[in-house]
Amino acid sequence: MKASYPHIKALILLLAIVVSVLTWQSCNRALDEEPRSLLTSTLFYRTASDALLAVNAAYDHLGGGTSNSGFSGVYFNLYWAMQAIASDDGVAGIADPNSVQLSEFRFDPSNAWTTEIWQDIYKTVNVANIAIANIPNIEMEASLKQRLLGEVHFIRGLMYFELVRLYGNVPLVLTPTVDLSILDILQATPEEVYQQVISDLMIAETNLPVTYTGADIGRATTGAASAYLARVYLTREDWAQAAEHAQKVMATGAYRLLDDYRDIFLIANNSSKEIVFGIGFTFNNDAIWETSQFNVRTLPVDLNRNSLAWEIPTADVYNAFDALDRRREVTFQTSFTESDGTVLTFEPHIFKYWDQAAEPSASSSGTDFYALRYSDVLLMHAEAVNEANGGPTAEAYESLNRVRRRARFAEDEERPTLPDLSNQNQADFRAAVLLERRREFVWEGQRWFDLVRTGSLKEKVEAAKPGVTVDENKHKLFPIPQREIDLNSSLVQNPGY
Amino acid sequence: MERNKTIIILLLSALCTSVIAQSDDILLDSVSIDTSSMSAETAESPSALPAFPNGTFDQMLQGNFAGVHAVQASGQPGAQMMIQIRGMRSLAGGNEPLYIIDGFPLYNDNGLAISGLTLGPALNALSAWHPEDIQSIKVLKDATAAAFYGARGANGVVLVETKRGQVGAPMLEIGVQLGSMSSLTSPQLLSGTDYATFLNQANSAGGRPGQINSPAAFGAGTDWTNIIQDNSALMHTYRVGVSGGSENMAFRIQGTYSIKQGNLQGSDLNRFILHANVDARATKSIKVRNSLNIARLDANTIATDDNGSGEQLGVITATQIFSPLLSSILTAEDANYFNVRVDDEGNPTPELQSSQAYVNPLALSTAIDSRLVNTRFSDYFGIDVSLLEGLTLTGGLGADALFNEESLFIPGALEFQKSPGGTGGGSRMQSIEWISDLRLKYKRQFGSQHNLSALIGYALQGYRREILGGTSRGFENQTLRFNDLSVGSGKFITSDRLENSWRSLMASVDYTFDDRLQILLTMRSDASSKNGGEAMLFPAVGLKWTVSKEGFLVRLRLSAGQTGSFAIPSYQQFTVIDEVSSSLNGVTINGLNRVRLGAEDLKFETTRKINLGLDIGLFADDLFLRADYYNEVTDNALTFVPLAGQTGYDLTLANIAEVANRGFEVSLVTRRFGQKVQWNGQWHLSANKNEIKNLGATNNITVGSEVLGRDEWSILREGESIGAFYGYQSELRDGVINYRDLDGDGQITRADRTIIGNAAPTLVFGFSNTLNYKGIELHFMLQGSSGSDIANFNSLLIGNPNGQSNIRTDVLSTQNPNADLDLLFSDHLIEDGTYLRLKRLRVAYQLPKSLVEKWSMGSIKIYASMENIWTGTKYSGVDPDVSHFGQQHLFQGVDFGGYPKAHQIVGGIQVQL
Repeated sequence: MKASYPHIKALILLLAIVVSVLTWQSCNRALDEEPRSLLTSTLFYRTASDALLAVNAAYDHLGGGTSNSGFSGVYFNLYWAMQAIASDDGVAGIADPNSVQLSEFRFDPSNAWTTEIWQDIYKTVNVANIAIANIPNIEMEASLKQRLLGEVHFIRGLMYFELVRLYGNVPLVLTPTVDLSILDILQATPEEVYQQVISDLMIAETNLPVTYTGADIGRATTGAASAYLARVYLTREDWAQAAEHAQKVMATGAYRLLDDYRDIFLIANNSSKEIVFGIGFTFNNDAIWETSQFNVRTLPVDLNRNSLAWEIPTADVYNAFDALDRRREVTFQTSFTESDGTVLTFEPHIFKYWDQAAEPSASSSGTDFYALRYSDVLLMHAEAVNEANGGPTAEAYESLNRVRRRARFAEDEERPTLPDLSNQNQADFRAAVLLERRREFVWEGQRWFDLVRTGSLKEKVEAAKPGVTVDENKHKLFPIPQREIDLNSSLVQNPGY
Repeated sequence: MERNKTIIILLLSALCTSVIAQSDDILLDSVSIDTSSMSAETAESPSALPAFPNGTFDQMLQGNFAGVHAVQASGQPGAQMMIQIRGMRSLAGGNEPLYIIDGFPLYNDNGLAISGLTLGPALNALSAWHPEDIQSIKVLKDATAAAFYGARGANGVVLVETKRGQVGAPMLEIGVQLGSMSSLTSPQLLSGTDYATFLNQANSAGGRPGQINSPAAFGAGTDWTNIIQDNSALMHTYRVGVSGGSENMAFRIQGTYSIKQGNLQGSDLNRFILHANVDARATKSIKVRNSLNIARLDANTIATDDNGSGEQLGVITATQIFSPLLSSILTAEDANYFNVRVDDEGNPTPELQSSQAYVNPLALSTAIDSRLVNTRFSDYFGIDVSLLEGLTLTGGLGADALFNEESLFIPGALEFQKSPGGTGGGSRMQSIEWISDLRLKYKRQFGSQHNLSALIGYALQGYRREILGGTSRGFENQTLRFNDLSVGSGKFITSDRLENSWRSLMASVDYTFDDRLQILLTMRSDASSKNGGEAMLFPAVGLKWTVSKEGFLVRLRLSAGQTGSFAIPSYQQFTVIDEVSSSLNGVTINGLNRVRLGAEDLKFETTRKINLGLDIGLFADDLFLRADYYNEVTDNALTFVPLAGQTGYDLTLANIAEVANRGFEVSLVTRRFGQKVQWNGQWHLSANKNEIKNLGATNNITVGSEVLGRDEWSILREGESIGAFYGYQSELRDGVINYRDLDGDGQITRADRTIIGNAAPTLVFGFSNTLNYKGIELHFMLQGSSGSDIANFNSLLIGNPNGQSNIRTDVLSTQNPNADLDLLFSDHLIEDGTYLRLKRLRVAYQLPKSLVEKWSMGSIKIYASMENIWTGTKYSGVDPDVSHFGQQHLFQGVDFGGYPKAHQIVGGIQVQL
């Protein structure tokens, strides 16, 4: 008996040795393991399809964003809501201190909205920078490569245009973030940022097609680039360049005004000829972030739908309309009739974004956000020509009157209102254009920008909101968010904050 | 280096093959190294303490060990615990201890043990073991104890040994247990009449329509809490087992079947557990040991602990806010709104008060089908070869395989936004964790006074988890529910796979002189794939000096060393490309983007521990005092560091923080006073002070997952303790809430926030007593904690008289009706969480042997036990022992819509044949 033990023990020990050596070896390999269900950076940005997906990601950051990375896109909600309430067009509808402060011009660097907008925009900048850095190295069809680069340059230019207008001196980051050395980039002057914006948009203008077909409809076009260049030059008061670029858009022939103002906001017309650049949203049960936030934010609580009226329009903007102006009844409603005949009445609320036939429940919204419409191109043209020529010319009148004319029409009926303008001096014409812009673009992300660039923020806001005091010098920029200053001490705060 | 160490191990092993040694005990040495002699505190092995009826063994950690802060996070059957040993160390990784179950190391992350589809809090993964199969639980806290588990020992180690067969004739054991449950008291809400009166006041003050003419007609109204409670909920447990052993073989096989109905309708947990341990001597010098546990857990869960985001549906929140004016017979279809207006007869009118959706609680708990089935096989096989006298080679192979299935169906009528057709889903997760280890132990006595033992060894451990799941929406026909997801229209599939592995080398020397002086040196090297495989050393040293022994024991203990932790998900070091999506022209366009910046140079969190201990034993240790002071500093604590916006990312993971824990623990154990009466009493008291010493470049990081739209309600700040609540200071003036303008700028902004409380308790205590007299055993246990605060988010709804939901009665009497307090996260929500609870009371009677033998039986024991009997607290919520976010330690101390725990009354009988 005893004699057999050593063999068994030797066998066991041998086995133990073999097993341990084998597992040791295999484990040495395993400790360097690569993730199999995650795509890492080294495996991507190699093919034409990767290039397209990288560019798509930039569009995705404009709109719904994505639930799995936990953020909303730049134009999802706060951007246009802030333009509405930090102006004479709207006030906070709920007692959220962030929106109340914006509405009453009491905001400080800790405001959550201005903080989030900064982050959302820079995320989009990084996405664009990743594409701009990687696509040139990808072997692919030259024309597609050129177009894709045009698209991301467009988006980067657009983002910096927003940043420089909202915050003034901002870090000009032009390379993708691979490590934290990106924090060494300091604030650039507005002039430097504008040069980059213009350069990016000019690349886009050159590279992009006039129109797209099929699934590509909605992507940035050369017209969109020209139109944004017009807006950039208008903001910089380079009137001749602004007029020239507006003219360029008009000359493409790709755009027109829809006949009835109401039709612009129907979901079916999300990509109509009126839209020069829009941010896509969709009514989609499966992905809540792809729907826009228009209904929930704008519609009155009393509507008994998913409507919370987080922002509401001022009486001042409602009263800025002629009663017969088609835009007033499309933009606002003061009553609503339920299908069972019950009539609800309420103060004016924004209704233009609700396509009542397509989305009767108003539970989510598939209406796009129109970042730049053709009527804007016409009004920019009218304004720029008026300024460049020391007064309105025939083509300036024509551009302005086309917008007014359209607003006279309710379906086929032409109403006796908003007559064509003529015989205006430069100042009257300038005021007329600004008023027309207000009525045309209620809550379309324009008003604070328009008031700041025309130097009328204090005058208009204080007139519309009694008790509110505006400091034109301070409030022409939003504060650099305190979060950013805390995390990057080299940032310098804007004056007054 | 590593290669060389391996070779040394193998050579040493090979040298020793030819010598035969004898070994008498058929049971192996404990597979894990017995460091109990050095440890600050091991055990008070609660084998003497009765197991919780139908619970989980980690419940035993609450109140029975000094230095352990355990919170039972939910009352759901099989619900999870949150366990901290000597405070918190990591700001981004896990803070749960490492469990070693029969030699198998296991980090208990409940989130990884499920696929996460079902509603409600995660099931406690440790419920796969039946508490009555546990022989002993030891808690290792100091450096020498934990250094044996190196890179995973910093949060403490819980050593669990299951019951094994003993030498003796085979014995059949049968146990039956029956019990019933009822929920702990709910907050006192307005009755029908009072609510109608309140609504009338609120509506007229707010200028809203909806006056109810005769509030008195509603009487008590509908008590929604009562409606969803299952007061006839039962639990029953049936156990059958055989154990026995001879000279060469011992075994114990135990089968358990238990059913635990939840105290809320729609929830239950059925468990089938087979536990089988075998110890055998294969030859004179070779022993083997196998520990097997097979469990099948079958649970129905309900949606408690919602976050109030609208997409999630919360049963408990719904019971509290639902109008008592609504009739309880409402079905899901006609009561999706909690504050629907009613006419004088209580019929809903088409007019709603607000459109915020909450499905009525009865429909929520009964019409939603949320089911989880976990099947878990855990086996560890050890072999022990005596090579020559004093030299033993021990090897082991273990595997822990978990198969999870989850199914969910929410009928269309219950869904937020009433999506027609409902939502169904199914998911399958499987994970396997394996270990292979080999140790060479040497033990020898030199002369009569010198004892030396030494050990070298290695262990490899690997983990793989794969998940596949799909959801489907808009079912054309809802009959088949989740059983045929193809019926739905909007389908969504997910899958994931993750792996990680560990490689460890260990060595130790233990020298004892004359049973008076003991020196222990340990050294361990660990490497993990989670940071690319870089190895790190974890050394520790321990000294124990027994000053006097006979009659009056005085012992001093000192230990110091370094342990680690790395409880983070795999792959954090990689920059990850993931899908983002939006739409163009109404069509979804998907993109791929770098959604996360890879964390560079990740290291183990390292904790330096110093422990000073004093043991005093009187009357042959019948009165035993154990006192410890410890000071621990964790360097390289993992933290999610916020990044400046210009990086394009929100945060990144980095080893930036330094966290300190220091405190003292006192345990007093008394036993056997008197001849007839035996008394075993344990008092445990521990105090811990946690401090964030350093937070890198950022001094403040606000954290806090969203609850009812409030987030960033906690802050990590240098000089403060983890768990600080961060918000506004407030005061009620004339029933209106006013926030303090701390920075004096004339308005309330985020800059006015400050620290308004802390969730970490300063003192944790437990007191348990077992008295024996002539076969009668009385056991009771008190436990509690003090100094902690609770953020009672429920108050945002039922503490807010804004006319939007039902409210607590005390709110009505002290505050202005129609005041909207539903604004900011302030100290209005913070309450003192101090409590003392009579956790258990148990009476057992062992029938006299003479009587039992007459019936030809071994023994009969009958018992009755009650749990959660009495709680003394000022906290206004249901239960101060609460953790809404479960094992997310950073977010402890939150109460919102949690599953209430139950009063349990259980009776049972144990028979040995």
